[in-house]
Amino acid sequence: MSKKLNILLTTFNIHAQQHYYSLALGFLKSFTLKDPALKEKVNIEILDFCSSCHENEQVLFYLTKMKPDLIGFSVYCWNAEKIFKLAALVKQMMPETMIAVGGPEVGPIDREVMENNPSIDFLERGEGEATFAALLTKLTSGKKVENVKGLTYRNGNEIVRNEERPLIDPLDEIPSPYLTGTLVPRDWATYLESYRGCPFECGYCFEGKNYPKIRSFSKERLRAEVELLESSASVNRFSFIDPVFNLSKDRLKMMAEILKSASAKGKKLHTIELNVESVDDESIKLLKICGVESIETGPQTFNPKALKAVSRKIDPKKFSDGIALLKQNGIKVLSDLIIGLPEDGLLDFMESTRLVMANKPDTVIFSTLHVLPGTQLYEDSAKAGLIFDRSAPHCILSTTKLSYNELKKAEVLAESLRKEYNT
Amino acid sequence: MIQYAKIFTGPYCNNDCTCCPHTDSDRSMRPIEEILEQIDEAKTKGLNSAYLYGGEPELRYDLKQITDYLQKQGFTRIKLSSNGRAFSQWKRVEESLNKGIFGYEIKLVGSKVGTHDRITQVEGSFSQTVQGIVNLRNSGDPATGRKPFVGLKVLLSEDNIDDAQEIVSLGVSLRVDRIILSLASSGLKITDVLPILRGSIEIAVLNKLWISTDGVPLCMLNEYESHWGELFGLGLREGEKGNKCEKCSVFDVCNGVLSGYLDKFGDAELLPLKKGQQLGIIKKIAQAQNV
Repeated sequence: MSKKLNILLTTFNIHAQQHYYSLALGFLKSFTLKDPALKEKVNIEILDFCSSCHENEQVLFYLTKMKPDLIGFSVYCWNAEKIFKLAALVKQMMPETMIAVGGPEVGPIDREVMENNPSIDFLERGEGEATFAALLTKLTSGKKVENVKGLTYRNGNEIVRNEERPLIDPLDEIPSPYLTGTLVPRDWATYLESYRGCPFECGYCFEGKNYPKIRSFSKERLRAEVELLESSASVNRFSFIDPVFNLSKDRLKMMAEILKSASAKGKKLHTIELNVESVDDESIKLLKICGVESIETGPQTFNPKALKAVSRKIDPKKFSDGIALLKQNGIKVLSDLIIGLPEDGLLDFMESTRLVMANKPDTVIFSTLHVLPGTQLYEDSAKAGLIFDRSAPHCILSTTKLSYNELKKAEVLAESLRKEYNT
Repeated sequence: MIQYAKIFTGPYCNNDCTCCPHTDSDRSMRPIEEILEQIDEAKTKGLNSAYLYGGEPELRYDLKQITDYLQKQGFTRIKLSSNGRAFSQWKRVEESLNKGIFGYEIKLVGSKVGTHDRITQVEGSFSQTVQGIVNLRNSGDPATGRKPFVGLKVLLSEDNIDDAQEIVSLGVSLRVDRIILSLASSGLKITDVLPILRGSIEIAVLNKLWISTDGVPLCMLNEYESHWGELFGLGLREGEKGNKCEKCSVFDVCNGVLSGYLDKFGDAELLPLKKGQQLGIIKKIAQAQNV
């Protein structure tokens, strides 16, 4: 019997007290193993690291012990530089190990990533599940990868870009990492996905631009996943990564039906992303049935010019009313502001901050604009007068309305206000 | 930015600062009934943050009664202005946190014993205040991980203006969360001290510490408008304005200069600011702080 291909899927997750694990890697593994023929030919292990707690040296310690045949890295703006450096170290120490990368940080700028990182052998663009499985099918049968859709790869000195792969539809083709036992649910750190795509096209966001069509996982699959969490004694809180949980009233009703039993048993949903402007009394009832205890929302800015520049619209009154309704009904509100959006000067940012705090959310979260590959702002950055760090995480450096000096002041002010407000 | 109900607890204090407007005979506590009434009124305005100032509110024996009432009335954020001396005792820090006070604004008037104690006229006050800041910085609720916000209010007068930048540097080393530079004496000519104020702002921001000014009109803060105290609801003392000030776009929201300043220095420094987009935003933000 020929030797199995040993594969390690790994990433550095954002630091949190509850230690996140990667849902994306779970999807990759569960999709790959659904093919019985491929399952016989691969061993796949997932290792999650923390971007703040773990250094490359520690990760290398594991990798050099495991000596995988292929390492698949899930790359995001917060871990890209670290992973690129790690990939180079791995190639130096284990030149026979193949390195594959995927994720929103690398897909949109695949050629640039491959050119700048000679240690990377394969890059999956867009949704990685089917592309990764197709790549492994070729590798395990000794065939060439030239027909693997969605793949960018190195062929000698040449970087080859295969044709695009269609999006996976229906989404249920991807087995649930939880129902297959690929991922073990953990309290606070468990995230479900009920759909992919976004109806909005916020200029700073990857989701809406690249996945404009909404594709949903089936109700039956969602129900089964929730029932699994319901039966888990250790999971009391979980969440959804859906960009807008209340996409429509009908959808919210469906989610309430699915989550009702778990919620009745005390399972709660935390930091659900919500469109606050469409919250009404009926929504509140449904959110309570779902067990939602906290939500996260914008506005990112209240400056009409900045909103227009990033293709967002906000009705300040509806926004304010929505927050008031949520708070009145015991649902905690986390409100987000972005520093450095186009058309937002320092005083504009201060005014948006004042307005956000006037709504009295439970927590205010500030972040500096990251001009991410694959977003409208990234494409239009020159036209919009945005100067940003080309290295991940692509922090904004200045705009036509905010000098670097003012940006840094805004960050200092934001940190001070964050401490005062959120105390 | 955060709208606070500003609650005066009385001029009673255990320091005797040379720059303090309150005299010896004026060292009284405000009747609690008045304070509770003010809290009720603040609640009707929809406020949920309270700023207690004096004097020295920490000296009130009934401070817990006030903070209990604030919390009962739904105030989730309580900030205390203090000289910090009480908090040199760890027990007092714990008691204060247990009262629900998680915001502090500690008054510091010198970077060294000599300067600070000379102004407060209390020997040992500097070491107590600094220890108080250190204790507050190291405190928190172990159950929730909640840590107090610790700001510094630097009261500037002729006695310590040359020490301003060192005081700010001390604040940086003590890891405070914000600094207010407050002109506490009408004897300081603002245009003369502006370079010191600007330098202090640069030191703070370079060290990632936000700093605001109090008692400096906007017309003198060229390029430092974002640090204007009125944007943050600062300014508790009654000010005065010049004859030309009525023409200024921010006349309604500016606190002006300290009482007595115009008699000493006239109003030549005060120049009315004309309408402009930025002034429109400044006025909106400052107006909202007047609750």
